[in-house]
Amino acid sequence: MDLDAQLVDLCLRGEQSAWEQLVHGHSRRLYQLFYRFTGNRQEAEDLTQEVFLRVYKTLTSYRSSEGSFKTWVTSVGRNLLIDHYRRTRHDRQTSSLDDELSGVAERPSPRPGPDQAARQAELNARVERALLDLRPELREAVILRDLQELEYREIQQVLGIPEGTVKSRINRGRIELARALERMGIQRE
Amino acid sequence: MAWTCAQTEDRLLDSFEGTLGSALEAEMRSHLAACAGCAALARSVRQTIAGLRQLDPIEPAPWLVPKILEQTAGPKPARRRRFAWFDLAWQPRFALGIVAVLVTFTILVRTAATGAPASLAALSPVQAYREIDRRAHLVYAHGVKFLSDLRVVYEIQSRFQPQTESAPAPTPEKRSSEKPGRVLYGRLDGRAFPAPARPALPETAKFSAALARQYAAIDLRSSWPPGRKPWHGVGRDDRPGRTA
Repeated sequence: MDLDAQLVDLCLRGEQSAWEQLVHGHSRRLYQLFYRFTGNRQEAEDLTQEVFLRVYKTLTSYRSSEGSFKTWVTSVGRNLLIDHYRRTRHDRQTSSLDDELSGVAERPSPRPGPDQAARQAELNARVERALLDLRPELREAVILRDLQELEYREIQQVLGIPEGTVKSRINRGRIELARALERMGIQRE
Repeated sequence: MAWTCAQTEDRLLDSFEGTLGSALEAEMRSHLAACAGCAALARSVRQTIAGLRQLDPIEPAPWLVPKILEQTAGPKPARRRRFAWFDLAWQPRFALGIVAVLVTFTILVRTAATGAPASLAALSPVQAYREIDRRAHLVYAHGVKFLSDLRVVYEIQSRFQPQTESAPAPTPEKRSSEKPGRVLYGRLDGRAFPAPARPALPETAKFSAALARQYAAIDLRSSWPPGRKPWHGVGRDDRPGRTA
């Protein structure tokens, strides 16, 4: 039994410190998953809170024999993302292309300073933008593999699809992302 | 069958991860060497993967985890510290309470000590300082007087005590030189003390009376060195039987 499974057991016995450790151990990763998928801090924070609320309520349904807690909590987060994506689809369709582009331009540079850091920040912003333009099923696969660094088996469990499909989506997502970055003129230097 | 561009796109991931197999890998390499478009795509995808992994990690707001914990497990109970009550001392209300108690205590003590009615004038800093100064001097004076009394008592005791041990018994000649008809109670440094009237002594003074009767039998002059006045050496321990 891994550490997370032991912590879940302690949680179910009423150990509050175990729950704190679980939240501390997974909140950052889930927040980054939501942020990379939505591109919005506020939405990522809301989703992170919501996923832990849901996990806390359904903690008794977790079975360590069926997979790791990391995979399970990511699956819960992914279901939330799907709900969120459906809820906000209308908003996204009505937003103009100018708004999208201005959002990229106004994205603050994480490390302002020398020119190189500014160029890297600009590159990061464009990669994030291109990632957000990917189709959701490709985006989530690429995020889980290249940003969250999950194994194919874990991604298969999270997405509930065969491993071949997982690899296909990741491959297709990377190619579309590369072409989008080429169109932005920041590849093939 | 020749390797196609579509195959290259489909198998890029396997090629990057080395799971394509040696035969297929060789075919893909030969295609990439011949097809500029596929070679550029493969290079671009590699750059994209590297770009994704170089993205700066986004840190959540510091309040996020505490808020999650509060929403799920409820507010965290305050940890009991051993001297938590000491924190009260840093609160203004505690300091004000202490000041109020001290002022009240001062007024009560002053009223009880002087019998004067309490007044607001007694709270003035100058008045309070004078009162404290006066009381400090009184305490000091009482202490000095007590020590002085103690010193006198010990001086008397130290002068009487050795005589009872070493003084010789008075001779009849010496006694006959005293004025007749005068009863001597005792002698100290050659001076004679007349016997006082004897009131009824309280029980507690019986020991003192017995001691006084012993002293009365001592004639200090009989053992005084010849040629020396009895008052010589007052303050020095040059009594008979002692060496300087």
